[in-house]
Amino acid sequence: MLIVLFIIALGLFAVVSLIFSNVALQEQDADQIVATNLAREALEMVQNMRDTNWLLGDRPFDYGMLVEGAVSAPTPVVDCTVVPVWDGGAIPAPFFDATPNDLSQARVYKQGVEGYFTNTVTATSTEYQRLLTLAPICEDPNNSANKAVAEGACACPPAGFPTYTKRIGLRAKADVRWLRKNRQRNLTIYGDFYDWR
Amino acid sequence: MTGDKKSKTRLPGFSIIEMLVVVAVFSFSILILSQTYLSFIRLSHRTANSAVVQQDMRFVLEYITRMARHTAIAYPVPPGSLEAATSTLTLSGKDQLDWIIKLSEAGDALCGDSSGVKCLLVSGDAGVNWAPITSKKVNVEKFQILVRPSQTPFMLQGNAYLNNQQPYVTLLIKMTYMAPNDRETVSLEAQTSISSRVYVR
Repeated sequence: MLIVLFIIALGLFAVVSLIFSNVALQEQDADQIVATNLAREALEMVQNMRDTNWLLGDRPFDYGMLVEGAVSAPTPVVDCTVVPVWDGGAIPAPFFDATPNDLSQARVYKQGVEGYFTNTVTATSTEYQRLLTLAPICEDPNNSANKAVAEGACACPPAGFPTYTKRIGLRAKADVRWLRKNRQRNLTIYGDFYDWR
Repeated sequence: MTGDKKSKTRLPGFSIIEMLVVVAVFSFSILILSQTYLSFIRLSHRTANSAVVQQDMRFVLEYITRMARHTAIAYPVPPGSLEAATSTLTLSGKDQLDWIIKLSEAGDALCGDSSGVKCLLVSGDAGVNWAPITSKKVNVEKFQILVRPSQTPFMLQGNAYLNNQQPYVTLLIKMTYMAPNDRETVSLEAQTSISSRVYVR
């Protein structure tokens, strides 16, 4: 009798565990859809700024991202962790704010009127955090087959160094982090944007 | 005396109290089991509904992303400009036939037989024929499209272009599976933006 009860209990436990893990995975999937699209949006903003710089024609392709200052004489930025600033209303064209240094300072909010997700601080915060890390893609001016991403740096090595001194593109890494039932989840996607069409 | 002795003899069986206790325990167990079973059924429905909403959300986001990336945005002729936020996205298709993606009216016959449901409709022939791209019981509660800049950057006016920003589309969607039971209703809201890959200048 006890053995029978044990087997029945074991079977029920397995079924219940399966159902609950299925529900948890579904919730995780839903969060993943939101996070993936937030990360993709950040990369699209990088692409849009590069393309807009091309249209403006008077500035480098990465102006407002890896370089700043005067358009005629841009200088490399000091900090290459940024968040997109955009809210769909008062700030129609996205630009980047280098103030946040890590994900904890890069909360995603819900904009009040239209309900857009945005890194611009508004009243309603979400569980999501989003940060972009930019790094230059550098080329050896003597051999265009040699390229390297200057991870952790905001600029290619200065002229005079033997290799990888020419800035030809930028790598953008979009990190999204969120909490679900006190468990932290992360998602990272990359995009490479070159100064050619 | 003999009769008294007989009346004190205990016959085999259960007393009424024992029977009542057994019936109560059995009924309670059945009640608990049936409630648990119903909860699992509801959970199972909720999971299935969630899968439908997620599938629709993935499909719609990818569909519109691809369209907006590789098809030019249909801007109005200047000085006209696009509205701040709309529930319609119009893209310039081939042969002057626009691709239009819009939110239907509630209860539109194209959305299926669920009353009050709004779905997403697509037309590849400038609005002559429409087809739904969301499931029958999925209600699209929010479909906001924001296109920036509001005027085309590819048209010369005098010696200058109207603006110098590459077109950029933001898409915010909220979908809800319309289940008969509130506890089986599932909602999902997601947003993405797309920078146009159409380079005219």
